[in-house]
Amino acid sequence: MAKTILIVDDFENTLFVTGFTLNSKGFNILKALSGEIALKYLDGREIHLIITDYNMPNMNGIELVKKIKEHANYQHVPIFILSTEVNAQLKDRAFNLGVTAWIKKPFKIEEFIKIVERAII
Amino acid sequence: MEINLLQFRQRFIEDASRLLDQLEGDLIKLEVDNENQNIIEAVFRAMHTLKGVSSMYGFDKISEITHLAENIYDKIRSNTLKVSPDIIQKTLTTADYIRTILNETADNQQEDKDIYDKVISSLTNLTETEQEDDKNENLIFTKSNDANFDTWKIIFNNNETIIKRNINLMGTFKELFAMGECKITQQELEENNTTFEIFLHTDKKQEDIEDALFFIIDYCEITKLPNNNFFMQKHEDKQLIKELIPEKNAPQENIEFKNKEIIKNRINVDAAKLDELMYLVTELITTNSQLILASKDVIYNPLRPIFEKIDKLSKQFRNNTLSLRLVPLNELILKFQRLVRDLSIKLAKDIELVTQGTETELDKSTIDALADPIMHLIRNCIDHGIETPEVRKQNNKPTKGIIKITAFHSGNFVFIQVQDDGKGIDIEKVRQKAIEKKIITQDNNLSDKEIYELLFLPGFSTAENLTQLSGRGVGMDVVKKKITELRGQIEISSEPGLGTSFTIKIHQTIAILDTMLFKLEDMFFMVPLSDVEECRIIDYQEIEKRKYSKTIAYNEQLIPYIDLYSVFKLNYQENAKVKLLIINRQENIFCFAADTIIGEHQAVLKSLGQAAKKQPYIAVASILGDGNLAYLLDMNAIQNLLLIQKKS
Amino acid sequence: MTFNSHNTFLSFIVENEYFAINVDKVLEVLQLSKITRVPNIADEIVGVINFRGEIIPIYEIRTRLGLPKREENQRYVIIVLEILNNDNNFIIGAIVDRVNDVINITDNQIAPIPKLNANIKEEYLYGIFKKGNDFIMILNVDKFFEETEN
Repeated sequence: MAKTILIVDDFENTLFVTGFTLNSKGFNILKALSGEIALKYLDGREIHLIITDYNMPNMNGIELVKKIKEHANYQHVPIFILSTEVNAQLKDRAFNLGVTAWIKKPFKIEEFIKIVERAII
Repeated sequence: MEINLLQFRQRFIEDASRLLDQLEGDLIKLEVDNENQNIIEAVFRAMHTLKGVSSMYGFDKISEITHLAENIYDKIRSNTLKVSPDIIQKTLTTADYIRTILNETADNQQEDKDIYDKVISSLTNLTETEQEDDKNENLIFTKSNDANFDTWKIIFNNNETIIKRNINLMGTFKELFAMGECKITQQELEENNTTFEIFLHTDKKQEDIEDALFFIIDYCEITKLPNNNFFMQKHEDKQLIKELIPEKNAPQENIEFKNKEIIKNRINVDAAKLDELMYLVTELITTNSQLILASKDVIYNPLRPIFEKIDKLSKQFRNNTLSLRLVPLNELILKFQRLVRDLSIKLAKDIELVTQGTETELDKSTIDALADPIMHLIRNCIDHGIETPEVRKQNNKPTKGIIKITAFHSGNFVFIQVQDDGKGIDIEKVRQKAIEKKIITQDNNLSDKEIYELLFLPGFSTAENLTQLSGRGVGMDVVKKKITELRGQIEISSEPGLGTSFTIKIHQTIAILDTMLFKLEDMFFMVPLSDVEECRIIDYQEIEKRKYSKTIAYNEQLIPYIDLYSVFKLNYQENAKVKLLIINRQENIFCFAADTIIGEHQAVLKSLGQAAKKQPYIAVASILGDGNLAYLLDMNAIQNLLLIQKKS
Repeated sequence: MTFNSHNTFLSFIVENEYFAINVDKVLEVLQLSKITRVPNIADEIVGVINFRGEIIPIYEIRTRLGLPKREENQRYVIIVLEILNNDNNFIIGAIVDRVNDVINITDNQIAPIPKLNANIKEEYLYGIFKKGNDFIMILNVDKFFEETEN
């Protein structure tokens, strides 16, 4: 049974390409253009990994993580934050909130896939 | 963020190709100097690296083949096998095949399977002939292999965050177990805070271990223990472990170190990044010249000294950036050596390749573009130039022929010479052939130089029968075309009986050209600034008046007017005043009109490739600051329009 | 379940027709933005764009497929492809309406090519894949863009 990944990014192109890549690796992909849309997916369906951009208008990646952790059903889903920033404080805060990995952009796609596979399998 | 789907794999292909180039060079050296341990080690390392990395990208075949080759060279380096011509040949074939796989497309699977089997069996044969030794070998092998293994100690402080972060520790541990021998002990320190002590004996590198620990790396401390297999020891008491743990900065593996030495002081930069830098520099230069122009309007401008300083600095900046892209011609020599070696064996000729000044540097893109034309010239020398040893003996020449590649620079140009000491070009034969082909007539009196020029015409070849080497459908005309595309020149000179020499003259840095930028309709065009005599504005009547003769009065004489609008099928917006560009090319003066003449532009030229195939007038373009493209007029083609105009 | 890229395809839509291209050939998918026109150019090439510092031609594949012209004010997408032509690799872009999906197709799922309308030559296709109620034409891009060479 294919695992499901929810990808959140306000930039459509990234969403498409990341989705495209992971889909070609056999994952089911859900796409959300904002944190608000992402939260709508948390409706009881099974999600195995959430990958979100950090820098988004209205609700940034960390704020989204906080909301996800409030959901009893989804607080144990691993979450990756993608960001061009490597601010140690930010990263620590994210880890304390329960973020599984902080991934610096840009990254190499093969390595990214490896990390995804590690988190899910 | 920009993810390129195939980017990573493509980078591997590039790296692997570079490694193969180096490998080929080493193999050719090894053929002569076949006990050189350093070279043997290098070949072994190359195979080892390819083996390791290729399987990561799904190149399983490469992985398998290199595994076999690696074994062979492992035997050679431990002196249980000797380098033989057969081994070298087969390794070269292997390298070729790896290259094929790297460039492989999905279509040629079946054919490929056959070659693959062939390569595998040829490599297996090499090891099997040594089967007797092989049994003992196995023992030594495991032992010597041990040298690549290290024992690592990882201290991992587990804490609450790990649980919060939903990290699957078992997964991480499993991955460590898969890397080699691994022992994990847990020590309870305080509540909720455990420490794991992990010993790992593996041939994997530190990066791989860090990779496996990706999610928990922030809480880990990794140290390398002295090169000693902890697990081989019988006594596992704590005391010993303590003894084993010392230095945090254990010395790096020797071989690693060697590799680093080679790379010393060099940084690999993505060519695209250099292009981007180049582009920015050009923008800077362009803006700067606008600034200079604007400041000239004011008679006294206190800022002018500052502008001039900026001008000077940006030109230095440009030159510096251009020099970043320079690479030595040496990069190509390995390829040439391989070609000379393979072809001379095939044709039973004895040929040596001599090089001089190959440290001369050229822009990377120029080097890449020159590889094929120079290969072709060398092929020509081997095939048509240098005689067989027997013939050479008869003519009192040394049996060994020489091909010499010389490079040097002069001014902004680099000269590359490809010379052979073969039989030279038979001028009379070329002349006869040209007459036969009705290119010239019996009474055309041509200089030697003009006759050599004939060789560059499409479909012209002097060889009585095309051999499989030069006759590959590419001729000297293609060489000439390639070099012209690079805005270079090529000349032939030859001495009967003594040899032939091809000289290529080419710009050292990439195509940066000072141009005049102008607009036709909404499209931008450029002409080389050096071709522009003058810009002037004339009355439209002037053009109208001599519509039929297609001329314009200029400085007391009539010069031809070329109608670019009709060349490019554009519409001319009738205007009382016409902006004219007067062109002067080696005393050929002509002119054309434009909607707007914008001014000087330093163009970084880029090929238009297929997009411009249908017409001869433009082949390269430059990207302007606003993302628009400007097309560079091919002034030769434009000038040729005059001939047509004359005829019609 | 494992997939390798040889049987993974990017499917896209042009004028309600479904097509697919092997992902091995796809370098990138771009939002259609400004295309610079080139004078005296083949009809099928709309113009050129700057793709990672390289100037690449953009093909209007509707022309070749005999489909109606694109509408103004509609969003379109460029699929950047690496094609093999006479042993040389070229990068080109093709305008499509939108990309649809990434699908895995094994060889035995590819049905032979039925009689087609004259505009789509048989050699342009590897075959047909039936997905639900949709028929997806699997393009042989090397062949598809070959003739425009001259």
